[in-house]
Amino acid sequence: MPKQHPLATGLVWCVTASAVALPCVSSAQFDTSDTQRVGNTQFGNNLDPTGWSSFQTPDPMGMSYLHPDQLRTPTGSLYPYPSQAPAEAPMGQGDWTYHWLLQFGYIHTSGDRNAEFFQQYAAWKDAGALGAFDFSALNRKTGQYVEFRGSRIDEDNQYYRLRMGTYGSYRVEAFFRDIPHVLSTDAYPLWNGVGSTSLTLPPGLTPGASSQAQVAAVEADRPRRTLQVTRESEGVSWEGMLGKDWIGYAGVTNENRHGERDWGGSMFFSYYYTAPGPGGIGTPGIQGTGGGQNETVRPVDFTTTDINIGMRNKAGAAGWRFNFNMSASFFRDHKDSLSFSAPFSPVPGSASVITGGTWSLEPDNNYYNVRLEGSHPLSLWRGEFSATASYGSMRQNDALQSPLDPAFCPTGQFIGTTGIACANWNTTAALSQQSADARIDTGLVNLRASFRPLTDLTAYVNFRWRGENNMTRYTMYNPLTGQYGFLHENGTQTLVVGNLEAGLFQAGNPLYQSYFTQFANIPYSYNDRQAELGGTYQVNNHNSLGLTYTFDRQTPQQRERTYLNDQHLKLTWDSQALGQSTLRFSYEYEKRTGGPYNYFPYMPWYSPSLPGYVQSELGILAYTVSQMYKYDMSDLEASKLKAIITTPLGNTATLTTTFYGNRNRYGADIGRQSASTTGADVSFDWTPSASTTFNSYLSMESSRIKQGNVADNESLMDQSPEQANTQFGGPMYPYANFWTATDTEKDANVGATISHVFTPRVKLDVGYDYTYSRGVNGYDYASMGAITPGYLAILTTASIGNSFPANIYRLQTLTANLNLALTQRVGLRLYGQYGYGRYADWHYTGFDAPGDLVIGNRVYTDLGPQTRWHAAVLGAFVTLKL
Amino acid sequence: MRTLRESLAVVWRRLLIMVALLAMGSSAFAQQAPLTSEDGAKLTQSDIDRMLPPTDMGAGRHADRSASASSASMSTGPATPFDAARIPANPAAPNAQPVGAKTCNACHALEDLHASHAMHVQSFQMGTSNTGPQAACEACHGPGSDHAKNPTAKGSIIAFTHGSASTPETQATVCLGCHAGGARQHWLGSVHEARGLSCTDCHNPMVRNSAEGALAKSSINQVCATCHQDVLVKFNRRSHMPLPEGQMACTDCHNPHGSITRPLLKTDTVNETCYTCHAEKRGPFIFEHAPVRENCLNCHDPHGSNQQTLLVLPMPMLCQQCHTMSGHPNDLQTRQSMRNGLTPDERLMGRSCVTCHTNIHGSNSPSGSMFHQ
Repeated sequence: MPKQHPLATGLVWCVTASAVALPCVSSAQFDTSDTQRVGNTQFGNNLDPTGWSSFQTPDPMGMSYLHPDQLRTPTGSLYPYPSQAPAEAPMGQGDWTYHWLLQFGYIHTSGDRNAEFFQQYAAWKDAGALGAFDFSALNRKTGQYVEFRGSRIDEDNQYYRLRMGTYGSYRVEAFFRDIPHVLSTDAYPLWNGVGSTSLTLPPGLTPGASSQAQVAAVEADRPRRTLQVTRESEGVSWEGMLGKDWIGYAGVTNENRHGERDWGGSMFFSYYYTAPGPGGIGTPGIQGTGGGQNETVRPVDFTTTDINIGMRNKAGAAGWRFNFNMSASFFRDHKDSLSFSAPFSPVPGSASVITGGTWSLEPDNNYYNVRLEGSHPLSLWRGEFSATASYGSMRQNDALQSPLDPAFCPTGQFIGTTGIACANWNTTAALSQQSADARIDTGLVNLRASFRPLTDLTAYVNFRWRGENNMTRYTMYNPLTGQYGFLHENGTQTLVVGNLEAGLFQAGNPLYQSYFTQFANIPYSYNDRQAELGGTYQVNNHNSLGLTYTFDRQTPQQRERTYLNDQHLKLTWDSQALGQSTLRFSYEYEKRTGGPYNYFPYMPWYSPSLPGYVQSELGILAYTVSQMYKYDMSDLEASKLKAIITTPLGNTATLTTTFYGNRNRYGADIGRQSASTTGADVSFDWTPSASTTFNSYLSMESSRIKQGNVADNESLMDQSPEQANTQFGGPMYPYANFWTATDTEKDANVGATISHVFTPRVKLDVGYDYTYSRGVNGYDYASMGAITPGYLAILTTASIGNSFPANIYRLQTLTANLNLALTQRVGLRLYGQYGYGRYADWHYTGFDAPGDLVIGNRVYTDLGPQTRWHAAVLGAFVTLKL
Repeated sequence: MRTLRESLAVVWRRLLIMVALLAMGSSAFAQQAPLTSEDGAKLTQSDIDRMLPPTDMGAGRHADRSASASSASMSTGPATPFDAARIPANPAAPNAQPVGAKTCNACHALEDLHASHAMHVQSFQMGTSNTGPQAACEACHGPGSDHAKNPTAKGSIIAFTHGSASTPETQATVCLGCHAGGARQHWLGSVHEARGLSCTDCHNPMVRNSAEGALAKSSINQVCATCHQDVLVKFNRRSHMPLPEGQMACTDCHNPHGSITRPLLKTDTVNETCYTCHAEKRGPFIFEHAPVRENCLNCHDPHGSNQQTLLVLPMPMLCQQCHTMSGHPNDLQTRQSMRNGLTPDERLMGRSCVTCHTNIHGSNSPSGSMFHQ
């Protein structure tokens, strides 16, 4: 598929629509619908997450001469004091007025400035910065306006947004922004060519033939890198009146995402080659020289163009309120493949013919969606009927790679002693089709009728259908050899294990006629039909009860169950009978059942379904244990409770308390067994005067997920007909090999902000946030049979213990802003942020220095986030304003 | 301090009443008598019209509610279409009549000052140079005569604050009078509507305290956290989307005004919402991973996680919930599989399972059915 850039097409659409629409601007009210569209509804950054702090100086006069304090929302929260209106000036002799604010300065960082969590979404640099640039102009006679907002921390973290239009008639918006995401600041990639589609080994290493010592020596000297992805996006949109009661809208956004991130690289298992150490059981094992894992780095070079166009009616066409929308999204991957040279041979003791591997990275794809919504009042019981229908299609047709890369399995070579010729697999002639021709279509219909038969009673009924049709079909058939299946892990499994595990099936060939392998893609599809009946009853002026029943029938295709019935019963109680407080309480009970569970529904896509398959006398190796239930397909009994109490305290404070929890039981011994969460939050907001605001919160949560599993009896594999026994408690999956794992997490968050205007010239904002998360992964097991058989000669119950070290994430952040008005037009802003963090994750325990990145035939790139860090940001800005 | 403030407020009130009365002119003073009519009979519209100063609302014209608002503005030049916005009925004061913004401002001058810098009233005021009736205070608060007669009587005017006698439905009807359809297409029956929330729980059109959206607080995320603090604090966890950093908002994914999904998603499903920013995951791929195509939430918590990449569990436990197949997936991994353990194991260290099954979201490689390539 040619990588034509659709932005131009989109812009033409948008401009054309605008050109047609603008002259039609006429009557009736126009209002925007930002919350109708996904993304880019917020423009802010670390210096000012609200994007509006420059204008948030409260007016000491308050909101009203009639009462000294602020009023409250209907629920009971205090409204903040109104901000002082910025000084405005007339623009020329016309009816325009305007104001502006410019804030510029310098940012300095200190401490552990490369800490990953410090940089995560900031990408702080010591550099000049634009704190804010705001310009606003308004014509009070015509309602025309222009608004511009912008801020820039550095080239990877900036935004600029322009809006202009006429109140009630139209609005045009354009933006440009960069959002950074720092993924690692402790990366030491072994390979050259990071960021490209080809990773090569540095001098001194030989693909497929390097020793562990050689690789470790080279790795120890690799330079430290930061892996980061930046989203650069821009967009333009228009929304405005097309005629009486009709509003049109159109928009185009374009995002370029670029950078690098951790990736993988599989060259067969290494753990198979771990041997007992000289000290015997209970002492470190010896890492072997077989297999290979390569934590590589992939490029990210995407362009996504989204086009959105539509029109809606505000109830003019025979009482119908319509919304018709068409959208399209075009994703382009400018680096849609990646290859890497592997330093090690996966075969112990000999050089490898397979010297590297490849990936297909994400293919280009197109997405189209058309959607129609309509609602109409009903004469019956003051009702309303609404209907929604949409159709979507996801498509891609990228050219497919050859099964093996000729660079790593060259023509003329054979894979080990298997007789499998590279020439038969390193060409696209080995494919059954040359391009993906992948497509999934979706459809949706939602019908709803709402009624108010009595003043105090509302009721509704809702029907929803959504379906997916996966039309992708691909057969792994090699016309050059007449074989089905695929060569695993870049051919290394074949290289190591030989023909019996080559991954191939061929009728009539004794080497391959009994091999159990997948030979085609499995087109998973999901369909969902849902009916919901609900209503609320206003018991009295202060209490309202609600009840909702939902029946959800899912009919997944190619999954373990042919249907799932999910039933929900939800009770709500909203009350203002508790003094001045508002209570919102809900309880929901859910029960999911379904058809018979088939632990392996995929046989039609596996070789036993092909003609000529000859079952081995040992039978087919048990794919999995038959008592396993995948948690999205298992039975479920769940309950969920939440209560929010908003309590006004006097005239100046609000206390909000939340309790919540859920319990989920999946009815499975093997698979996810249960999940639960319990938490509470307290927020206290106090505004004693316009000059002082204090907000604080305390949040606690604990959660737990438990699962069960059973290790198979590997000694039966290819040795006994009992290998085919899938029963839990049978010889292949004995009770003795059963184990459970429990993830228990506790989270606490505390924070407070205080804002005080000392004098009209001095305003100070200070905020403190503390986050503490502690996760413990525990495990229990029936016997040592639960662990990897090869480790039985190394590990003991004492050395295994019953849990991993705790995972910790602790972060304290102190942020301060001091604004000084030097003159009416000139000010000074001092910004400070201090962060102190602590982190532990057992995935990265022991990765302390680049020399730790090579373990046996494994090469890693990332040392993981810093375990303890502190860093500060200081910024000084000059503020100029009208 | 409070005592002083209250005293000042009382002084202000008296001062304003005096100013208002002066503004009404001598005729207004002369017409105060009906207010204390000896027979105590209900005031008529003509009584009120005599009592109140000249209005800018075209008092009485609101009765013609079937009249096209737009035709009025069309005939009066380039004023904004908000000219002649209809005055909503107040069920609690069915006989009230409009009195006009000048009357309101006699007492609510400071509110007017702030509101004049906010989008709503700015847009209402755009047409003031024209002759047609313009929308103003009563376009939202309903006809104000009853309130003018008895300012402390609850329900005499449509109020949008705590303790209001106006029901949430009445309040929402006012707002939807202009803001019908679009993002509010599915407001009726949405969870926020059903739970009795009012528009002004999240919005405050009387001030400009936010960059956009006429919000009740200074940002969307702060507004949502008023009730959903438990969700917002999850964004403080190790892996999260950049909400605390101000680069995203809850409304990037959710439509608080209602949608056809239970979690108020802007698209039809979770995955369609995720694909809007993660279009590379959309595929389709020739080899799909069943739970990935089904629902991103099977593995990720978009509100924040203590695991890498928003995962709900650490790998390999995440994968082992489903992958109990024979061979390497179903072995118990222990602390000795860590880098500094007795048996360091690639199934646990670093990125764990996805070190090998790297294309876990789907593969387009003809050799990628196990997501190795």
